[in-house]
Amino acid sequence: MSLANETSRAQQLQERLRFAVETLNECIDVDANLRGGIPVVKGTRFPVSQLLAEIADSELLSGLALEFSLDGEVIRRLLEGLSICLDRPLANGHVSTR
Amino acid sequence: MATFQLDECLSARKLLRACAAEGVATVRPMPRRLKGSLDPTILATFMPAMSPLLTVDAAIADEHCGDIPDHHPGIVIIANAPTVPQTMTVSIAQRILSRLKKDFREWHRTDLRNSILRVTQDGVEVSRVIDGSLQGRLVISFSELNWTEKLSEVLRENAANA
Repeated sequence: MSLANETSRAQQLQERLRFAVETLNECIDVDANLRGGIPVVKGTRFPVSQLLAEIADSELLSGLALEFSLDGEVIRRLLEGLSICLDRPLANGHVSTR
Repeated sequence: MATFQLDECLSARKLLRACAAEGVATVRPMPRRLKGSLDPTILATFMPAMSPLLTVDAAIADEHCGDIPDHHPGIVIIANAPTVPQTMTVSIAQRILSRLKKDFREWHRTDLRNSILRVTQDGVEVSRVIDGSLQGRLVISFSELNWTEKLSEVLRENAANA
């Protein structure tokens, strides 16, 4: 791969990450005084971790698994794992993204 | 009939329906105007009220005990036991509450004033706030023989300090 191509790929990745961070900032609040600093859905007290865990626990999942011929149990475990990763404070003290 | 105030994360239709079907206590969903409120606002709103607050916010009492007055209607925190790695969901909260209610049949008639209960799969921890700090943590395991009597007694003592 040429240097120009590598630079272009790095820029593209950087741009995607910037977009991802902006998007998450629009959807998520992190505030030490809100649910102990765990990320919540913007404008609510509802943790992102609980949202993922509720999807894993819901009927929605079996429909999705059927649609794409995926193993529902694997998707459930994936969502459960992701939810546990996010179920921790990301803000201490007076940090706030609100 | 006893009334419990739900925090936002528990204000799910399936929980409201299950409580209505049980018919021994009323639960109130979180008012829309409080959606997204900070923990101190939630406590400032519900601690002077009449109904115990039911929440899955495991940290609210530990991190905001300074916002909890000595006298309040009660706080029930439903949390996973340390041995349970899963994230709390409404279904898990319902199972934990069912375990409590199975043996503690008078739960809906019990005076929870001034008590902070942390209910898990393993048991109940009861504490109370005195001058802004959490005190008197008593851990009662569901495996103890007379755990319901022990729980009733400590709740009665806390309520009597009103």
